[in-house]
Amino acid sequence: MVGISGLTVRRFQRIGLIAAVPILLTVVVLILWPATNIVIRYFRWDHFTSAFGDERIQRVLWISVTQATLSTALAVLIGVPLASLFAKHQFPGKRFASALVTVPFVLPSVVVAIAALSLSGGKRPLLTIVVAHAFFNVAVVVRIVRPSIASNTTFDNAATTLGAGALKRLMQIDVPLARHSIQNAAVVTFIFCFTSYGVVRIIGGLSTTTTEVEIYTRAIQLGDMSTAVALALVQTFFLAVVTLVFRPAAEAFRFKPSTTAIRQLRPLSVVGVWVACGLFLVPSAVIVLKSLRSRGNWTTAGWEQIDLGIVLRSLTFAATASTLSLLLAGLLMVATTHSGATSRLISAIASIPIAVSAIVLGVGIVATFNSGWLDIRGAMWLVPTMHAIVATPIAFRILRASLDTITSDHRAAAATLGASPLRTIMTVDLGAVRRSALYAGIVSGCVSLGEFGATSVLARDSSRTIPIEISRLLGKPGDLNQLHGYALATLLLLIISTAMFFTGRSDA
Amino acid sequence: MKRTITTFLICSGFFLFSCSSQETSAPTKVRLLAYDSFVVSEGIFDDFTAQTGYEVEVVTGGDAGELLAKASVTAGNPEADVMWGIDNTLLTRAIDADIFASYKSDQLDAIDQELLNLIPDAKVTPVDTGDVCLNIDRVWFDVNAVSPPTRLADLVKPEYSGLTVIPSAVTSSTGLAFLLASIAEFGDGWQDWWRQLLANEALIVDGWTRAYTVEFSGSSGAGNYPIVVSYGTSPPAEVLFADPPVDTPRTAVVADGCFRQVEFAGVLRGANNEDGAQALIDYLISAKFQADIPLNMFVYPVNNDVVLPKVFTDFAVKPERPLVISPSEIDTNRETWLGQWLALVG
Repeated sequence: MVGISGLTVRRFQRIGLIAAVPILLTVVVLILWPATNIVIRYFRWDHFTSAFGDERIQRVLWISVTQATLSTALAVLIGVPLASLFAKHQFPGKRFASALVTVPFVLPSVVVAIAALSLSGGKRPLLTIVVAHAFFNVAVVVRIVRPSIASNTTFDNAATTLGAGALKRLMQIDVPLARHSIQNAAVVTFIFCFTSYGVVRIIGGLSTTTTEVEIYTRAIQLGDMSTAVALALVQTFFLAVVTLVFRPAAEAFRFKPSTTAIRQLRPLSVVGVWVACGLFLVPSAVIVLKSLRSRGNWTTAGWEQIDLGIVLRSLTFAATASTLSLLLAGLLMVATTHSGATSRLISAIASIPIAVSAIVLGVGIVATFNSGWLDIRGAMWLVPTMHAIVATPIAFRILRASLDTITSDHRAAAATLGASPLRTIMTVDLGAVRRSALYAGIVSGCVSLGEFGATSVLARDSSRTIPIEISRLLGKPGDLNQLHGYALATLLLLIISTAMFFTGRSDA
Repeated sequence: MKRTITTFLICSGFFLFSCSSQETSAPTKVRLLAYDSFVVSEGIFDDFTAQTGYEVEVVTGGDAGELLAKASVTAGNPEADVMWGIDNTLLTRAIDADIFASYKSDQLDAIDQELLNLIPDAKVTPVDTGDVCLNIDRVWFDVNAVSPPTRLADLVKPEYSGLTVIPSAVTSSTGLAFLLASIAEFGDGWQDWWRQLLANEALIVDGWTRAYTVEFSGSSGAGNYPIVVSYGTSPPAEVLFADPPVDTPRTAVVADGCFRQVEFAGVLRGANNEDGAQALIDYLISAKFQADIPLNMFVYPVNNDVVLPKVFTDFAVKPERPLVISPSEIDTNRETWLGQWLALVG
């Protein structure tokens, strides 16, 4: 670290370690302990070895890797140019377009899957899964990559002056400079796609199934917890290796954020962008339509059924989860401000929650905390807290990406001016992430709104949340139940796009 | 910043432990654990509270299979006092996992002996029944002038080629029930029948939601398949929840070849409030509670004193002689059957 003495570096590290304590505590207590508990209880060596001799399981593992790789590649291929576009250009309706792209990420998977099915007609399951996953995850890529590109416009302007075209600028400037952010985004996307459950189960049917679906089938349908645990172990181990190899890295080169005004897009390109972003509207439009059309007639009956209590409850859960996960992600950032083995280890541990099989975790929590003062099953705070823990690694990567816009010069300057390490972190680092924090908070809230496997099996009082209510309604015959379910899904879509739209303003 | 961290630590510590204390004095509540689709009318437990002084707290957490998986790992130390929703396909596994405490209600008179015979050692009590049956889209068969199938064996005939959609036996409880129906109907020939069924272009999907609401032509999803595996009670829902309103459902039940699902409730072993749990079992099979079941959950009550709603007597089908396989036989063979089935269709 240029310009900062060894003593100061150590003080930075000490603050980092203190900040790491609550994160490690939550991950160890609420994730590692219950998951390990289940593993110890059900792990059988012979199930472990026989599982890998099983032809079906070999195929399942192969499909998991293939679909996650293809999905990630597609999401990056679409996401990076979009990120560059949003970072460097101004055009009419930019905020709206940017919100449009980020909405799918938080839709419940059953809704995305059915929308994708309606469009694909149920043919080519693997392709449909890959497209649906990409549709989900472009948002992650855009958000994580965009800040790094935004800070690199100086080079870009020079290249334009020298006559470089858009594609050349993208490939030779944006991609190399933002490569660490792209890698971060790709890792998160890969983990999401690899562990995906709802989308794969509904679209894939029997032939195209992945590890998480197989874990669920073994554990729940067949009552074969030992094979489920063996598969879950392999999944977590594989994802841990992926995370460690491609750990969240800081950009190697940091540039002062450009003060140059961003360019206006040519009218023809505006149309192109609009068409591209409009594609993201198609699946959403399917859902809206399904909430308003029944047997060839228009109707608002589904909307009239909506119980606002459920909506408010979901929003309260989301707000709690988002506050908590921002706190954890903030602490995580402080804990990893300085590169080094410890900070890498801390960030790897914090990523564990998204790599643990949801169903194993859910059953583990119930099995672990079941007596005396430890009996937290059914506690009101458990569901939002679990959401927060799962959202933290994502929030962290979003915050981290904007931290890359800080140059070490900034910190050195602060130190020269007599700021203590704490004050430096507070003013320089936190100052830089303020805007991303809003977005990270909203994404965490949205992760909570969308629920996920582990919490859907946690007992709660009869008060339901939006995603659980949607899947309950879509699981019943009768037009009104379907209309009601899709009306709730549309409402979720509206809530999220509004939130995204307003965070978009702060980037402008 | 240091203060913030300390505050956070204290808060999170408080957060962790504040909600976890459990009442140790005489319990005033009974906790009923049920699957996510459990729905009852508001205030249905008011009478129970008035009679016994216990309040009922309904908690949900997953489907029946998930409830059983969770209960198995915490046997003797349960999440609630009473569990609702284990069916005859899961019963033996639940009893082997030793999650229930025996309790024989003294109010079983109105329940068919046939249902009570399913239960060893009075571990559980039957609470509702439903039949997994083929449903057809009447309009499609009228328009195309094809006569609808009347039994399972028809599905492999050429005139029904490419018309049937079925939920997977591996990922769906409805699908499992249908597989069991085929085994009960065709005996050793079941695998051969499935081979013919697949050759006849039947579509197998992950679960009921996709089969019925997306692929079936009779539902609002308006799919391409006029024959679907669903329930004997699905047509009443197509009338009650129709939009625009209709007098008769567009769908009908094929009464032959249905598999009977029986759902049970039981006192969980190690319940906090065992007295309350037993009282609640009595209430769950009372005529008052049982009458609330049909229109909320679209299953049949087990209490024969209950008068069924008109929409049920008009449009639902409860077959006289449904296909059955005993819970223990299901449990013994489930993995083998599912493995063989997967090898056929996967």
